[in-house]
Amino acid sequence: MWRLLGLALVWPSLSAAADVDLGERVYLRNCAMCHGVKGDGKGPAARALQPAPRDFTTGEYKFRSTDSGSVPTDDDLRRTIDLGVPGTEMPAWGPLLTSEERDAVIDHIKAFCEWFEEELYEDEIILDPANLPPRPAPDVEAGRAVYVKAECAKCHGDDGRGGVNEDLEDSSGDAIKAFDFTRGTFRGGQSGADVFRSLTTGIGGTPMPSFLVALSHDERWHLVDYIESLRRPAGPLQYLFRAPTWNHLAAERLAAKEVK
Amino acid sequence: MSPFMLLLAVATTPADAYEGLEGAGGSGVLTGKITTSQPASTEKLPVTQDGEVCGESVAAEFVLVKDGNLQNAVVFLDGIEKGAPITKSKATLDQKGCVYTPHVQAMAKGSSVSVMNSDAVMHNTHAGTSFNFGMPAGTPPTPKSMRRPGLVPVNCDAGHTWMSAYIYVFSHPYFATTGADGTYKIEGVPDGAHKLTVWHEKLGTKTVDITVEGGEVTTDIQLD
Repeated sequence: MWRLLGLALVWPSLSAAADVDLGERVYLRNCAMCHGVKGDGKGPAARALQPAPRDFTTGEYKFRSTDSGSVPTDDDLRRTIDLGVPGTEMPAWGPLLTSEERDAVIDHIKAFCEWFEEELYEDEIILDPANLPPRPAPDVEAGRAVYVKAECAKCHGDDGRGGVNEDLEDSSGDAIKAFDFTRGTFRGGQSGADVFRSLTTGIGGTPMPSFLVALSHDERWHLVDYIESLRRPAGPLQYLFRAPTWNHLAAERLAAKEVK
Repeated sequence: MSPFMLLLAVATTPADAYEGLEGAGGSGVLTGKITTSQPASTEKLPVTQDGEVCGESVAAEFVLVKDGNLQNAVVFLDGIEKGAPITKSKATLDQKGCVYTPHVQAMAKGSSVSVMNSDAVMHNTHAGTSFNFGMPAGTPPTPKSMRRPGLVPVNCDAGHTWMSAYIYVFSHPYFATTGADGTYKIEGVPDGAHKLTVWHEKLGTKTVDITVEGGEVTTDIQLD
């Protein structure tokens, strides 16, 4: 309640003060309600949200092109802000913010965590999305073998429906369920490349580990083939609930135009 | 600038304050023994998954005590700001018999840990915010630089909930982990007043003020 009051107190000054940093202004107007004024994920709306909004102070981010335990690159942050996180309350801000506003708010968000102050080491950037080695020919059977080798079933179940391991917690101690490959909305993005990225970097702040070392490049792509083969077609009623969401529309629109 | 903006001042944790310079070390030597009157852990943690590989239970390693000498306590100079440059080490962390070995270790920032899986089952080595690797059986040793100082807890999310370890990463070179005899030795300590702190995963933390004047300072600490 006090946070709400604090936000309400500064609301008039947000548009008025010309000397307020643009990034701070964009953040307070758009992000603070969930992510909190201090960037700790404890905004007034946070209590109602599952999963909880990202706590920017820890430096842990889910969707990155960097190694497990490393902070994301600026492009990673641009991507998540532009496309949002489907299946959660994080909307796609791409169509709503100018590039200048988005880049300014990224600077503001990075300031919440000291780990962004150091330059990323070369060995921390493990994926260059513009320069991925070519995807091998699809092989769902090989992917199934990888699924067995990496023991994915321990959390995701033998049928890929997830929710097997009930002890799982995310890094803030909230219970978390392993993803349901059959029907779930991929939060990191729907494309094979997105799934490949998550397998390679791990999903920060969750139990999902990085398989960069344990599985070869081809093995990870075959695993993507297998995971894609698990998708169940939507039944007639599901078309109602799976109508294109804002995130999907935004992603299409952004793909169509050059996003800097 | 609106006075209300002061309410919203972003609080960031201060960047590391330690500065390591050649020749800024000293000749002080800190020695001592960490003891406790608490009993050693005797409980057996049940193995709830992969019993064929992990067995029925593993011995708890929370409190390792022999004749009152406390093992796996990390002793360090808390908040020291100037001293010798750090030396990076090469450490290992093995997963064998479904427990981590070593259970507790300390190292300087930038040191590398070679993570190994010697078990015939998949472990995912989840070291707090530092790294989370999936390691199916047969994964080769995976080196990882520990670049951020702090206490890093290590756990396995792949169903092995009893597994735990700690890696304490320091931005300075003044730390030691006690062995079975409970003793520690920290060398090259610069002169001056320091805060000698001991940390243990179950028995807590204790700080003692000490002064170093080029010689040996012996401080025994009891954690209860």
